[in-house]
Amino acid sequence: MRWRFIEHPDLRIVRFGAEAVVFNPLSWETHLLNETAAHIVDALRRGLQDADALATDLTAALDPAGSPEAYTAQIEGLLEELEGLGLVDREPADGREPDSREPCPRAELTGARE
Amino acid sequence: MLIGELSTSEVQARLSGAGLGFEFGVARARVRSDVARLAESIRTVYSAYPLTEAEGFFDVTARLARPPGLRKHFRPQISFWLDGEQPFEPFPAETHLPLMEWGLNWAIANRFNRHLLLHAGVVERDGRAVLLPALPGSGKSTLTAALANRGFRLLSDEFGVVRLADAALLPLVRPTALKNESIEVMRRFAPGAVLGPSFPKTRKGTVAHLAPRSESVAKLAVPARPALILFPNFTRDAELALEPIPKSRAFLKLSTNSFNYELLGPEAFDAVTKLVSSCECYRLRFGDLEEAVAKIGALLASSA
Repeated sequence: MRWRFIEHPDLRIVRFGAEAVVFNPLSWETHLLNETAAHIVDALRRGLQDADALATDLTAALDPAGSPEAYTAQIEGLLEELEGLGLVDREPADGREPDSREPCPRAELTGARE
Repeated sequence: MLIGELSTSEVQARLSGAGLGFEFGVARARVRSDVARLAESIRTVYSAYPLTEAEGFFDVTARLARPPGLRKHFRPQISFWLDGEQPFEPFPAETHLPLMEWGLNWAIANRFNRHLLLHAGVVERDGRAVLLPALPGSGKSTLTAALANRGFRLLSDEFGVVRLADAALLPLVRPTALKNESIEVMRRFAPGAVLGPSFPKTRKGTVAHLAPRSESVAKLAVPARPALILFPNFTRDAELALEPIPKSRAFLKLSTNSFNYELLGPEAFDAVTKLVSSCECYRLRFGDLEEAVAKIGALLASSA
């Protein structure tokens, strides 16, 4: 499964140290991204697209002694949460544009929203 | 000429006629009323304000009037009218000034969207501002009033007005509504401060309005650069505790503590980003006003 970040002219992402704050132009809500979520969003915007690659990248950055496999399930869950917020979507294998999905504006990132 | 230089009957005449204009800094209001004794209270708490002719554009045009009918004689009430509409239920007639103040605040909070409005006190010293965002009951107004009576300039005790373009803090200088125990606390803390009459049995208990100092009113047009964000929390008998807050968390707290953040959307996000980026952010728990004021002064000086 390949994922991509949905860019939008009114999207705002600002890093404050390890965490980040995002203005979601679909829901007009502001979300706090914890260190893991902020890193995943950065990696997606750099072009990494599947959970395995994201896990490897995350492990190298935040837990060099850890195993990427240990993070894959957590990252998949996080990507689904970001998808629920309308911030990422799944890229179809055949390269077609994905079906439009209604975002879930009230969804929150686990442990990431005050 | 200042409002305090008018006699009570002259204030009353303006209220009954074209209206009395108020210059708060970034906002202006015009009030008409024929309610007895309101003029006297206004003259006390707005004494240092410039007299503004009731002409030109006003952000808020309000009228306080007695409703018609038998209620004129039996437990009389007064209503707050805003552009011909009554946004909320009448108050007992004797609580005229609290109704006017509450109504003006309500109008500003609901209509004033040129700037980002935070629920916060703001004071300034040497051009550098301290923002005190908090929910009601946190001691925000009392702490803001205390600072304003210990060498800080008051910009606002209720609305942190953030200019969208550069996140400068703009004055919206209004009398501070002190409630219940805070009234006596402030009398002891600043014996020379001008307090209006006490109004018992309002919806928030006893309320009295503290007049802004003339030094603050004299600088209604002067913005301030944000330097510190303190989230205050009064806890009786608590030792003072100052805890740094990550800027990301301060951002979220500010965005949820605003009157119009969601309305302004990306513009508000950009303004809060500038605000938080330029400030040190702390949570402040305090139980003693003098101690809190001294700490804030020292913190502001050391953060320069």
